[in-house]
Parts: sequence; structure tokens; C-alpha cells
Amino acid sequence: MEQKIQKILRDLYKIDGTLRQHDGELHEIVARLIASRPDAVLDQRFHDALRQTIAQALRARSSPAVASTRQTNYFLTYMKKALYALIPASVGALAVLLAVVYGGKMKILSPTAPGAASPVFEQHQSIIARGNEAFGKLVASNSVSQAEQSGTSVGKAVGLGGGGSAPMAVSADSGKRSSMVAPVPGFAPEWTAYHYVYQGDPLMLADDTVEVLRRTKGAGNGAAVAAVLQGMNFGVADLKSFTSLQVQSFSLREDKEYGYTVDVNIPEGTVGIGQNYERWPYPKCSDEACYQNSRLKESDMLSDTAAIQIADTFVREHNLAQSDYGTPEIVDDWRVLYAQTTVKTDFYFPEAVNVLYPLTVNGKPVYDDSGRKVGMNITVDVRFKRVSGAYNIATQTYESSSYAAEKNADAILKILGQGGQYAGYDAQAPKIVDVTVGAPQTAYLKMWQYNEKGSNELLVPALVFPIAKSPEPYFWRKAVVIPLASELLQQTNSGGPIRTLEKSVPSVVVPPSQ
Amino acid sequence: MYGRSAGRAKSIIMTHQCMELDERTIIRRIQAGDFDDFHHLYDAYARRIYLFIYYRTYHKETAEDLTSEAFLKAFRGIGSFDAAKGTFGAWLYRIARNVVIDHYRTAHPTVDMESIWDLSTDDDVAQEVDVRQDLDRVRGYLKDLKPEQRSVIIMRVWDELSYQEIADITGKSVPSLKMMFSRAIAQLRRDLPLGMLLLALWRVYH
Repeated sequence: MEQKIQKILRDLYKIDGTLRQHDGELHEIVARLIASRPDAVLDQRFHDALRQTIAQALRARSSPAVASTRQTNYFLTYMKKALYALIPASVGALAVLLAVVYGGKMKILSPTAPGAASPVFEQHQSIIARGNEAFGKLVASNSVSQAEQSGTSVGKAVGLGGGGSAPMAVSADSGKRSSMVAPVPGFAPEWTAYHYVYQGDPLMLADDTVEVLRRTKGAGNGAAVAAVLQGMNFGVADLKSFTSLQVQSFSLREDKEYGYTVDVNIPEGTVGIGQNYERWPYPKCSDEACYQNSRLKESDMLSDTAAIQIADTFVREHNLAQSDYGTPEIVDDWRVLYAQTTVKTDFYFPEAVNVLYPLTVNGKPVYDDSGRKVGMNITVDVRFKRVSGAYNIATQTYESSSYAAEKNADAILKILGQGGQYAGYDAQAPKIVDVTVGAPQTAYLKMWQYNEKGSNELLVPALVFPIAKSPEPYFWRKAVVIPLASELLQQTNSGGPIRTLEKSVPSVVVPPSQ
Repeated sequence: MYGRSAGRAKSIIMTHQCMELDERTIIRRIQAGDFDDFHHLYDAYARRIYLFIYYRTYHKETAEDLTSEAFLKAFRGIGSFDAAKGTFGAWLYRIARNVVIDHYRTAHPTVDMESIWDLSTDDDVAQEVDVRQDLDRVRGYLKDLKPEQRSVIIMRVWDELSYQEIADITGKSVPSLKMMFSRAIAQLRRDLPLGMLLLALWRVYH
């Protein structure tokens, strides 16, 4: 502090040399002034978060004005009022709103339109750090009691895949807490439990905490969309007479052959594209012969390359977000089913195949708890060789928060052995098959956190153990995913294993009282 | 002690000079739509701007909010920054200053920067408890100064801004700021409580 005092005093004496005679007093005054400066520190998390926010703002600013060739997903960067006078309102709205979804190809200019420069969704992925355990308990605190009281396993943070389990009812009075599914007449599968055996180097679990991500919702600029609509003449009502309007969601239809529907949910930050079925020339069968004739054959099915090409073209044409998604891959469930079908002529070939663009967040892939990659799904219609839908298109802005990490490798391997948290492993199953899994990679596990206000989408750091050796030629599972947040590992399938009832139990029907 | 002081001052100047060179390049790039290097600018000023705002709000969350606002305004409006008219730093401080004024104006429509000192101790301004005592003490020292004198003292002593920087931010001339500062210090000396005066004299002669 002394050097600061001296500098200030030197400057002061240069201004007024007579003050030097009061050096002792002035020294004291300046010292006290400096000492009384509040001891403030710039919070590093805030610093980093703001840097990221600015980066986003700069990118948003750059998109239309600076990089004229770059297409963006920002809404109504330019919009021309005059154009409204030339086109019917409904077409104008479609054009405007498609500009929201598809971004930038349609440049309608208007320097005066309210909200014209406001993006509806943030295009780029970002993560803003929050405090420790900022999302509350990852597992709903009352989940167990709810399940126990209601007899159903609901109300807790759960994964997407359900571990391959069927919808089930948990017997509230079962001492073994096993879940039962009703037997199907003529179908008596052998109950097999799969035990996952890790073969790899010892797990290194050095981190004390993991950064859990929560996808940000409610950040969409519904007001900007509302502002545009308010500028339009709806004839029967004046939208301008309302204030603080926010558009929540909207649906649009392309009124043309092979047209699409576009659904935008602004609070959720999602866009879904589907078929406008009325304008797709599907065969309209009313008898069995027609139906049989119109069934797809194996020769109709698209090759993986062809399906991906069709999907890629659609993604490019409509400028769907690509930067956060990896190389597309085919979800080949139908092939697995076809291979397992004994009477091939009975097999129903699907009308659409799925192309997955795997999501990457923070440089890591995202999985559901059944071991499948999560991402943007493009469905390709096999009959018409066109994209029939695009789903799981969502904003990629997240908050992050630290949670205690699981450091006990044995605890992780124990859950891995059971096939994950929700696999419902049955150690008493008549047949247990070992499945070898290999060295894990780090990834995110996508989960849902339910609370009183709704649900949150969480990405929890996880280890993904790939199936190294399948027990069957077409084993349904590709990997086992174990979250690394210790809190989540305390949550297991309280319903226990799922077993088939040995025989039907007739239901008791109580006649209504007279 | 003096040597250390001079060395640090030199290092600041050197850093500042280097930064000035880099700043111009970085700003030109940003204005041309290349934002890759913006974080250099941000990192150079984030702490200083945050403290500048904090010293005028005394509330962490408010200071963070206003810092965000200031930086976002700055980077969104960086196309309007003209290096011929002054440094980026002064421009940024001016934005921060206006953001603080706007903040207080929501409750006090006629406030100016110098009066913020009084407002920041009002009950309606959320303050952190551990800051309040320091604030009250400083308020005691400076209560008889004119608002503009208090402002220049805080900018000089707490913000550690040079007279030139203060001039760029406030639009006042360097000589007038120097005069304002010296008069303020002289007045503080005159108003120094007797006990403090004796303590100061004792330190001089022992």
C-alpha cells in the first residue's frame, strides 16, 4: 500500500507543492482512503460465464451482417414490411416463421420491424457455470416414498432408455419387491439375466466432483416472435392492443406435395419437423389385397449410405444445427429384428429408417441409460426416399454445477455388473449370461429430473462401457452407461427384477352396488 | 519502497502500451467480424470494470449484473468505437459509468454520477453487511466534500486511474481534475479530526 500512497502524494505535491509541509497528515489521509477500499474480488465463475455470454453475443451479432454467406438460425434478422403487402398474411407468416426455424435463407428485409434483430434461440452451444449443487437433488427426495405409497416407480430422476425394461407395475405388497408383467398366452420366454463383466484396466476415479449440466429452458425470445405477429393485420382482432405478449409455441404446415409440419416450442427451445400427411401420396388401402401389395419388400429398403445422403441433404437444405452433432449413423433396429425373425415373409419392413446425428456436448458424446447415443434424429421415408421428420432438435445452452463424484470403483463395477441403475438385474434368474464390456470412455448420461415445476434435462458425466463381446449375434445393447455423480448411484431400480407371472391371475370384478 | 512503486508503475505502463497495440488490432478485427481474440480485451478489463462498478454499488450481484450489461453493451456497440477519439479503456469505463447511472436512475430519475455516492448508502440499495462498516467510515471521511471531489478521489485512489484516464472518462480536463483532487485532499486535511492529526504528527516525528 505504501507505494500507492507515495505515488499519490508525489502527484499531489507536483500539483500543489505547499501541501508537502503536511506530509504526515496527508500520508495518513491517503492511507486511510486506500485502506477503506472495499475488498472486492471478481468471482472467477462469473468472469468465465460472462466471457462465454459475450462470445455468444458477438457470434449472434456477426451472423447476418458480417458473414453474409453464413446462414444462421437467428430469427428475422432482416424483414421487409413491404413484403407483407404483396403476399397473403398466412403465407407471410409461414415465410417469417420458417426463417426462424431454418434460419437465414429467407431474407426478408425490414429495418423497422420490432424484434427484428432479436434471435429467438441461441444457436451455439454454451455452458454457464453455477454454484455447487445448484440444481438441487438430482434424485427427487420423495421418490421412494411416492413409489412405495402408490405402488408405482415414478417421481425420480430417470434415464431415457429405461434400461430396456418394459413398462411395469411394482407390487406394493411384494416382499421381494419384484416387478411382474402379465404372461402372454403361447409365449413363454426363458428368463435370462445378463451379467456385465468388466475387462480392462483398473478404473481411475480421481475427481472429487463432476460437473452436471442442465439444459437451459425458457431462454427463447417469445417476445420477438410476438412482436412480429403484432405487426400483422389479423382482421378480427388487433394484436397490437395487447402488451407483453410472448409466443409459447406455434405450428406451421407446408401446403404442398411432400410438405412438412414445423412445431416450435419456445420455452422448451425445441423444433420438430414432421410430415404434413395430407400431402404425402401414401397408398390409401381399404382391403387386405391392397395392403399386401403396398407392403415394402427387403429390396425396397435403403442402403445406409443412401439414407444418410438423403438425411444430409435435408439437414443442409434446411440449415439444421450441425455444429454440435457428429457423423450421422444408422439406427439399425429393423435389421436386428429382421435377423431374429424366423419367418422372413411375415416381417414388416418399416416405412422409415432412422439416421442419428449424435450430440456432442463439451466435446463428449451423450448417451441414454440404455447405452444408446442421443442426438438429432432424422427419419427417412423408405417408400418415397425423402426425409419424413427431424426430431430432438433443441437449443444447446446449459448451466453447469458441481456435484460429488463417485470415487469408489467397486461401487461402479457393482452397478455395471447389473447392467446399470435401472436394468432390474435378477441374480436368481434361471439363466445368467455374462456379457464382456471393455474400457470405458467418458461421456454424458442424459437424464430427466422431475420436480414440482416439471422436468429438467440433465447431462451427467458418466462412464460408457462398450459391449466388447456380444452374447448373441444381435444383442440389443451397445454399451452400459454408469453416471459418476455419487448421488445417482444410490438410486437403483427399487422395483427389482422384472419377471413374468407364472400363470394368469383372474381379476376380481366387484359389481356396483345397487 | 519507491523503486518497487516505480517498477510497478512502469510495468503497468508497459502492459498498457502493449495492450494498446494489441487493442487496436483486436478491435479492428472485431469490428470486421472476427471475434476470435475478443477475450484478450475482455480479460484485460473484466476485473477493473467489475471493481469500478462494485465501488459504486457495494453489492456483488448488482455489480456482476451491471458488469455484464456494460460489457455486452460495449461489445455489441463496438462498431461505433472510434480509436481516434480515445482509448478503448476510457470508452469502456464510460459505458460502465453510464450503466451505473442508469441503474440508480431507475429509482432516482435525476441522479448524476457524483451523487451516486449518497445513493449507494441509501437503505434501498442492497449492501453486503461486511462492507457497510467500511463504507460508513469512508463516508465519514468524505462527507463534507463536494460530490465531484469525492468522485475524483475514488477514481484516483480506489480505481487507480490516471488523471488522463479520469479525464477521458469524465470529459473534464486533466488540470481541472488535478486541482480538484488536491483541493479535496487539502480539505480533508483541514477537516482531519484532532486525534488523527496527532497520530499523524506522532508518526512523522517518531
